[in-house]
Amino acid sequence: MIGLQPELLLLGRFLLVLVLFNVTSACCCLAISIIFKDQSVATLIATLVMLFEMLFGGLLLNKNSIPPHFQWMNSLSFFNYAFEALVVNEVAGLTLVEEKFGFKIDVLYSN
Amino acid sequence: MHAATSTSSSVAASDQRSNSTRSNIRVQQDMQLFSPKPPSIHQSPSREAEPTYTPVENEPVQSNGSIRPAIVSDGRFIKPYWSEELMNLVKGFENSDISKSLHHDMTIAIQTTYGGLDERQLQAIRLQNSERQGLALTRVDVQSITNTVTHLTGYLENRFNPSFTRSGANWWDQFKILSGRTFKNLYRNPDLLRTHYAISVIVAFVCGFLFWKVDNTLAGFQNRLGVMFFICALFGFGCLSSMQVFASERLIFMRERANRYYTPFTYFMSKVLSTN
Repeated sequence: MIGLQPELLLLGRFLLVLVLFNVTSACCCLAISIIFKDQSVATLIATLVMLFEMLFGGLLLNKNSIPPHFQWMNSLSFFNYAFEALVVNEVAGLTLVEEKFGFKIDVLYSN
Repeated sequence: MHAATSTSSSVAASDQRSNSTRSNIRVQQDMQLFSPKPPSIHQSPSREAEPTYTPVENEPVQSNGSIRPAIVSDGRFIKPYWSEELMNLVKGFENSDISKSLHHDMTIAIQTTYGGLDERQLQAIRLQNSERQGLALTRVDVQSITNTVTHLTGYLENRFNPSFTRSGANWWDQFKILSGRTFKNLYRNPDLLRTHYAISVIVAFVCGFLFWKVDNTLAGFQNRLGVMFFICALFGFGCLSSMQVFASERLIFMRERANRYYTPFTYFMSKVLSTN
């Protein structure tokens, strides 16, 4: 329905990355729930941790504009790896065509 | 006290009935607990009306403020006011195998401790014990009873010998029993599972219609990034619902771990493999 690239290998990688990401985040949440005795405190801390992972995941924050003493938080976030894997899997080799002012501008995705 | 027609057979029969009409009894209990009750209506329509009046000599605190003793000095035993369910439970336990084996163990312990004495000496010892305030036994008695209890149950060996492992179930049996228990908990609360399934289907359709056939323009690129991020965020925050897996059974687990029923590894594996 969405119209992502319909190849089987890409689909397999997509599912694999999603499963691994789900397992990682479940382990993270379970660890937090074991560490904190009180359940509401555990929920709060887990929400915070998930939000920070999302923040350093690549979409919300420009990676290059992070000050250098916070660059290590990129490598600490498992969201980062999952999101990058999914996007690279999808758009590698894709040619984007942008039509503006009557011209067709090709934007080739390259790393 | 009204007639209690309780035997172990009736306890067993009521268990069978309650298993087959479990939802009825549960609904009944919920109604009794949670519905507002007018003060004059008695709670259990199925039984004859319980007497709400206890005779004066049966009340725990007498009118002059003293606590009535359970045994009066001339040997009369004043029966406390017990409800029918409690009598059922007590009679059922008395006639059960557990209580019979317990009595058997106690008899053996008494025999081995005081085995060589005749009835008169036993009577004298019982009188001595009942007259003392705290039943302080002599050291010889404590040691012999300790030996007997250790021999019968192995309980004290566990506590003083750190390398003693309870010869209970092995790893696979532990895992099977724990998994069975976790699955029972799971299918008795089906709401979480059903919500997860419904969310998966609904969100899939919503995403499909929102990002319909992404094209190759810059807007399409943004859409691709967005849908990937959205799916990741969905999984990430969906895992927050698995927080209650360990928190709700924490006390139970700690007590069973202290008694070394199973290793924490089997508990963890059974929980993780059956959670979503």
